Amino acid sequence: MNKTIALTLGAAAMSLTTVSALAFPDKPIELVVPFSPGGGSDVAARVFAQCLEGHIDQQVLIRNITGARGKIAEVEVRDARPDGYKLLWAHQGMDMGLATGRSDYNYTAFEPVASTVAMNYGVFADANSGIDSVDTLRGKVASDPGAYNIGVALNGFSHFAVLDFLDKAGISTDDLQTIPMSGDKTRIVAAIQGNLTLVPTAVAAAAPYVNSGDLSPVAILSDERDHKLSDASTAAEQGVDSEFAMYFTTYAPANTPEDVVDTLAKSWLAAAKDSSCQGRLAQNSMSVVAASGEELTADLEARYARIEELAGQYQLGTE
Amino acid sequence: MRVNDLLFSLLFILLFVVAATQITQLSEIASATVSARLFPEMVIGGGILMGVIEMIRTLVSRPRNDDPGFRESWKEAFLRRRMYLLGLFTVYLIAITHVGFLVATAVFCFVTILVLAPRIKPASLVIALAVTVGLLGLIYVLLVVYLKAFLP
Amino acid sequence: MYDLMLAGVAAVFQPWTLLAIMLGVAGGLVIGSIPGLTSTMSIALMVPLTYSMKLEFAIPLLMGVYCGAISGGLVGAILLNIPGTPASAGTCLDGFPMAARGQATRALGLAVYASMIGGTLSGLALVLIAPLLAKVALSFGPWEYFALVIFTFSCISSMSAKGRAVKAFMAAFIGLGLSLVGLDEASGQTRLTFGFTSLESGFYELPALIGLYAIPQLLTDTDGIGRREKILQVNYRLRLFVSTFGEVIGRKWDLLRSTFIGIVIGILPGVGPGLSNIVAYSQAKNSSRTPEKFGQGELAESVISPEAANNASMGGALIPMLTLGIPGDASTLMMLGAFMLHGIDPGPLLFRDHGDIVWIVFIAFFVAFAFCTLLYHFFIPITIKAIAVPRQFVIPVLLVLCTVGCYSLNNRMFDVYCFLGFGLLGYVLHIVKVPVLPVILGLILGPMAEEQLSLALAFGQGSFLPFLLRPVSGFILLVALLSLVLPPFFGWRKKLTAQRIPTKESQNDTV
Repeated sequence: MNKTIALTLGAAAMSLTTVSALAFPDKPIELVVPFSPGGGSDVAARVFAQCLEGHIDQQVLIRNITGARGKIAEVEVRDARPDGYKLLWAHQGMDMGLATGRSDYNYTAFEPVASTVAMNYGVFADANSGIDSVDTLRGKVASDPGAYNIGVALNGFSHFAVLDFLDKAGISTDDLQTIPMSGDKTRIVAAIQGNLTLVPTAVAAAAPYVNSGDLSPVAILSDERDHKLSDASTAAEQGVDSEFAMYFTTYAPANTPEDVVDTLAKSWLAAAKDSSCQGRLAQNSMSVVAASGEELTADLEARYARIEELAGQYQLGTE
Repeated sequence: MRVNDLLFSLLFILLFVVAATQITQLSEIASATVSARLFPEMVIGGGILMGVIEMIRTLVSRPRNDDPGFRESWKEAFLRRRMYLLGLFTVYLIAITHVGFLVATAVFCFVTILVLAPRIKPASLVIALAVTVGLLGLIYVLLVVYLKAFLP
Repeated sequence: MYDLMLAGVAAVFQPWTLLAIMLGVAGGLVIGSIPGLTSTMSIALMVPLTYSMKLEFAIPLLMGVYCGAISGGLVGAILLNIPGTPASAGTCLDGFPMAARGQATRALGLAVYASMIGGTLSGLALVLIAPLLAKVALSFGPWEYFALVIFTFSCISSMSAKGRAVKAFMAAFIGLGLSLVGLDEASGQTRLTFGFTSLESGFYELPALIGLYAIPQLLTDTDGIGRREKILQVNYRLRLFVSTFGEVIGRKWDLLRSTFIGIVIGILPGVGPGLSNIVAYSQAKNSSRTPEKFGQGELAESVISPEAANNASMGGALIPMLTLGIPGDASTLMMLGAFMLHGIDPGPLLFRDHGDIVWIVFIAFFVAFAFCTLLYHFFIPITIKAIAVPRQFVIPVLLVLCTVGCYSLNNRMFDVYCFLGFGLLGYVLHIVKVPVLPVILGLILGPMAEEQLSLALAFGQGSFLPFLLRPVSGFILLVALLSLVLPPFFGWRKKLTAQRIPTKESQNDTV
C-alpha cells in the first residue's frame, strides 16, 4: 500500500521536473558555496545573491557544502543534473587542485556561467617587523635571509598568490621560511603574536588589523587600490606586476543547455553592473569583474596557465 | 568480558596497523618545514602502545566472576527489536536518495512505530499515523519557514 | 562609556527587540533540546534571515538563538542521554543517571540554575574585563594550545571509572585516528581516504557526536518497550524545581571553579564550550572528597560543574569575537558573517568604532540569559512529560530529526551516513563497555593538536624545548602530568595500606 503511494508520488515528482525545462527558471536556484557560512567567500556569495534579486525571476538560495578545500562541493555540482538549478561559486582554488595533483579536474569540467565578483587579495606584514612596502621587504630579506617566515596553506590559494608576488618581485622563496597554516584569521593572529612575519590574506579580513596598527600592508595584488585601505599601495604601483585577486566564477555542470547558461549569464551580468550592488561589494573589499562567454573562457585559460606555470616553477604538488 | 576485551584490543591494534601502512605511503612535500606524517605517526604509535598495554593488562588480570559472559553480552546485542530498528533505519537512509525524503520519512516513521509496538491495536494505527503526519508537518514548516535547501 | 551603555539598553529594551530575543530564545531552546538539531544548525538557519533586518534587531535575535540553543542542549542530555552539542556531553555523565534515579526535576533544576549563574558571571567578565581577557587569549601561542590539548587528554584518566582508564585512552585514540582521515588543510595532503573522494572532507564532529550517543541509546531503549517499567518521577513540581537553586548556590566553589574554567577556555579561539564542560567535570571530580560517587547521579556538583562551565564559555567565546574579530567556534563565526554583511568590520577597533553595537551585544546577552531562565520554568514541565511517552513513538521521530539535523549541517548525505557509521561504532563500544566520550574528545582535539604542534615546531625551528620553557605551556604540561600520575599513585598507596591491614588481622587469627 505504502509502496504504491511512494511510487505514484515519485512518478509525479519526476513528471514535474521534466515539464519544468520549458520555462527556465521556474523554481529556486541553488548556488553551492564550498566554504563555511560566515567566511569571506560565503559573504561574497550572499551579497551577490542579494544583488541578483530583481534580475532573475526566481530566488537564488545559498547552500554551503564544506570539506576538502571545496572539493566536496565541486564534485557535487560537477555530477549534478545539468539543468542549471545547481550552480557552483568557486575561485581559482579549484584549478590549483589539478595543478598540484590533489584533484583530477579543473574549470574545464564545468560550463562557466559568469565571473562577477573579485575579492582583493594582499600581502601584509607584522607591524613590528618594519616591513611596510615591497622595497623594505626586499631589503630586510636580503640583509637577513632565513630570518623571516610566511604562512600559507600549502598548494592553496594563499600559496599561489604569494608565489606569484614573490616571483615577480624577485624575492627568492629560499630566503623565507614557509610555514603551512590555513585560514586568514589564523595567520593574522600569528602575526599579531609576533610569530609570523608575512601574511597573505584577503584585504577585507586584514583591513581592521591594519587600521588598528597590528598589521602593515606590503602590497595589494589588484590593479586598483582597495576601497577600505586607500592608503595601501598596489603591487603595480611599487613596480611589481603581480595581480592575484580571488575571482569568483559561477559554474554550471558540463552539458547544461546553452539557452539556460545564457539566461543565467545575462542575469548575473545585469546584477554585477547594478551600481547599488557595486557599492555594497566595495564595502566588503570586493570589486566587480564581469565577464561571460568567450571573454570569460579566455580569462580562465590565462589564469590557469599562470597557475600551472607557478606549480611547475616551484615544484608544487605531492607527486 | 575477558574475551570481549581481548577481541577489542586485537581489532583495535589491527586497525591502527592498517592505518600505519597507509600513512607510510604519504610522500613528503619539499616546501613543508614540518612533515605531514609526524602527527599521524605519533597518534598511531600511541594507539598501538595503548592497545598492547590493555591487552597485557587483560591477560594478567584475574577474571572477575560478576561480569556478564561473552555469550550473554552478544546475545543482548542482537536482540530482535534492536536489529529491526537498525535494519529499518539503514533501509530508510538508502531509500532517501531513491524515493525522496518526505516519502521515505513517512514510511519509515509509520512502519517503525508499528514494528516496535508490543502489539498492534487499531488505536495504535491511528496514533502512528498522527505522529507521522505531525513529524512531517513540523519538519516541513520548519524548513519552509526557514527557506532552506532540502534532501534529494 | 556609560552613554554607550545607556544607548545599548535603550536599543535592546524596545518592545519588538525584546520580543525578538524572547522568540529567539524560545526557538533556540526547542531546537537545542531536540537531539540532532544543533545550535550550529539553528544559527546557520537564522543568519540568512537576519540579513534583511536592521542590525539593532538582528543582533539581539541572534544572541537569543545562540543562548537558547546552547543552553537547550542540557534537556536532551539529561532526559535522553543524547547531547545535542559537544558542550553538553559532560552533562550526560551525571545528569542522565540522576534522571534515571527518578530525580529528573532535580537534575534539570541544577543544570538550569548552574547555566544561569555561569552565563551571567561570564557576561560580567565580558563587560568588565573583555580587553584584558583578550590579551590573555592573544598570549596563547601554538605551544600553549598544544599543552592545553595534552591537559584535556589527561582529564580522560580522571574521568573514567577505576581500572578503565586505559580503555578510555584507547577510545580517545580511535577518535584521534579518525580525525586523521581526509585532507590536511595546512599541508594540502590527503590521508587515509583509501581513494574515496567523499572521505577527503574528514569526519565532522557533530554527526559523529550525535551518532555515537543517539544510536546506542535508542537501540537499547527498544528493550523497554511494552515492559512495565518502574515509573519515573515525571510529575513536575515547581517548588522542587526552584528549591534546587539553593542547592546550586550551596556549591559555590564548584560553581566558581567551573565558571572560571569555562571563561578561560571559552576565550581561546577554536576551543570553546565543547571542551570546557569536560575539563570542569574532571576538575570537580578531582577536587571532590567522594570522587567515586561521580557518574552515579547523586552529587549536585557533578551536574552543576559542566553546565556552569559550558555557559560561561559562551560569554568567553564572545570576547575574542568582539575584541579581536576572531571567532571562537562555528556559531560565532556565523555571527561574524552577519556583522560583515551589515557592513561592520569585526576587529580590534570594534569597541572604538562601533561601541554602540558592542553594548547591544552585551545587553542582549544578559537579557537572553534572563529570558532563558524564565522560559525554562514553562518549558521544563512540558519536556519532562516527554519521558512518559512510549518509546516506540519517540525513537523513530528522534532518528528522523537526527537525520535532518546531520544533513542540514553541511547539506550532504555523507554526513547522514557518518551518523549511522558512528552509531554502529558507538554500539560496538557500548557492548564491549568502552566509554564514547573520549572518542569525541579525540575527534575534536586531533586536528587542533596537529595544527598547533606543527606550528609550534615550525616557529621553533623543529625544537620541542619551547613547550617546557615557555612558562604557561610548561605549567599546563606539569599539571597534566600530575593529574595523570597522581591518581594511580594514590590508588596504589591506598591499596598497599589496605592490603597491609588485612594481612595483620589474618596473622592475628592464626596466632
